[in-house]
Amino acid sequence: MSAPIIGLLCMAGMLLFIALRCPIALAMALTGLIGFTWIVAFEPALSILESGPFETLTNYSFSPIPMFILMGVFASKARMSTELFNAARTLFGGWRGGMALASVTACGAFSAISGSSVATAASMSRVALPEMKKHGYADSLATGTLAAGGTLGIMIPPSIALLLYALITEQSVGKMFMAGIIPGLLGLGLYCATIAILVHRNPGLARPGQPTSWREKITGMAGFGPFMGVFAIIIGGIYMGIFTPTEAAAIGAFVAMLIAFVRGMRMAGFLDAVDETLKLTAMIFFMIIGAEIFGYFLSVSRISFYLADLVGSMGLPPYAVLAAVLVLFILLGCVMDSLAMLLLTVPVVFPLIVEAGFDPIWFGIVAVVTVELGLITPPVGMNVFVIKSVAPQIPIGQIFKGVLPFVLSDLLRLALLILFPALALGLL
Amino acid sequence: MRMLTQVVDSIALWMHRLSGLLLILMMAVVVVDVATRSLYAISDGRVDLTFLGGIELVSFGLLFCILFALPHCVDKGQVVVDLFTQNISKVTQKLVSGIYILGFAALGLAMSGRFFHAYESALTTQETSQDLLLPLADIYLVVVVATFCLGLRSLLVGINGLISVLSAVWRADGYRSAKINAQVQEGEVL
Repeated sequence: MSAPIIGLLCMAGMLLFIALRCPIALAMALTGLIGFTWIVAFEPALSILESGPFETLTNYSFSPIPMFILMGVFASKARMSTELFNAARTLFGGWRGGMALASVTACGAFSAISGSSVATAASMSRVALPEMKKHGYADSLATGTLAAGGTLGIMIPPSIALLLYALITEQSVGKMFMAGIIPGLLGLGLYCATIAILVHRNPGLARPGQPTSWREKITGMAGFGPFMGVFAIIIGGIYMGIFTPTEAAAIGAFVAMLIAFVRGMRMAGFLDAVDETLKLTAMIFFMIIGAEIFGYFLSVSRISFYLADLVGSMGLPPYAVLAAVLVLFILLGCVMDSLAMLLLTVPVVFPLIVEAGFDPIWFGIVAVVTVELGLITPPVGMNVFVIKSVAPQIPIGQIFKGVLPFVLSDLLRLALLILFPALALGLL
Repeated sequence: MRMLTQVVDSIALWMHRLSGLLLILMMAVVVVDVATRSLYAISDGRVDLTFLGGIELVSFGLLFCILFALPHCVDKGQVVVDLFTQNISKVTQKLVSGIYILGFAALGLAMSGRFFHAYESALTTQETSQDLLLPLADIYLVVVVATFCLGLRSLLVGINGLISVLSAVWRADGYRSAKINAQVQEGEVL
């Protein structure tokens, strides 16, 4: 049996294991070991268990991951989400649907210091959901806004997903982050437009809030200052070559920690933040180690090149290849965690995309936007479940109904990014 | 068995705490590195507090930070696709989870074994790290202990999980049998 066929068989087995509740990290590691043994031999396969984890965990490039997570957790502990929401509410509060607009805007700003969608959705929903409920907002609009707004965390840099993509495909982290800025802001703009259209068509969804003067609006905008400052230091520093991503992440985490202490975080809160960071980091690194072992197997099976040759011989146009990959992402995104999906699929499909002539950085942005969809689409929309945990009395169907217009807005953004690659590559 | 589980759990918890300390130290090392470098640049080289090996400290810090966190988190932070199995009974779900945790035990113990080989060969060659000249044998030895803990804790969590599921099933069977026996004695089941 040829190596690519063994590769395909092992991948099918891995998907079966994953469907049978096997932790994704374990499924990737075991598939990697079994496949490598099948193609090469048992003894070399065992040596992957030493070289794979050691090389990954001593790789300096991976060190920003725990620090970016720590920064986001400290930002939550510092109750920065409340400050952001209040600032945004002063800006939009008087408009019909103003609080929903404020929530999405605050999510976008919070994303600038948090690399995780789930953390963004969780932090903002605890603050904004009770306020929207108090002011008579429809459950579908309130929850849909927050679930969708949370997804901005995965795109607006610093983003763990963009960082992981850059590391897997050996792209510049700084360029990847810069490429995420316009698509992230475009997503924010389209979400705001979606809210405006929804409340215009159905005014019963939201009531107007207290009008605010221009002076109040301008004063309120000061609340965005610290976030934009930290964001400018991180992204500007990386892009201008002043900091490495690790340095930017460490400085960001340090500043967020100081702000949290100044705002009353005690030792218990500090320990809680570190504990939360470690649990999230361990979850991600379990998968990274699994993906590393799986990666050795992918190399010897040559399955990626086999698929690239196969697609090349079929003479498919590049956009058909892209469409096939994106459909695969959307389907997998419905059942799988976003980071797990990137770790699992990108090493396989990346050569196909490069072969088809697409820009690797642009594809990273398109891939992450597609993966983002999985966070709010049924049946496993992670952000939807986060909102459900904050508001258990709202039926899950109601939340998915509220999210639907935002899914359409994400699809529109995806189409715009495919039609106009400059939206992602313009700042590079 | 219960005592061994408690001892291993508490070792894993202490390793987790040590991992947290390493995370904060990593952050501090990088911040100090950037600060001293900036001071050097601003003072045109007059104030030189810079130090060598910052990158190596962070790299090995990351290695130990993650490896020390894994034993405590192995049964807490796993990404699982439960869409296709959410309708099966809780007992079966727990049984399957227990079996999968044993998979992590196999991985952890195999990794520990491989790292022990690496430790032996580093001891023979007296290899050191590039910048700080840290003996690699010592680093591998710590990795051996950490991965062994991962394997051992996974093994105990898996076995305890399986025992609790199976004993619950047996208790339920016993209860059902006792109930049927009682009904038979009372002449209800004939």
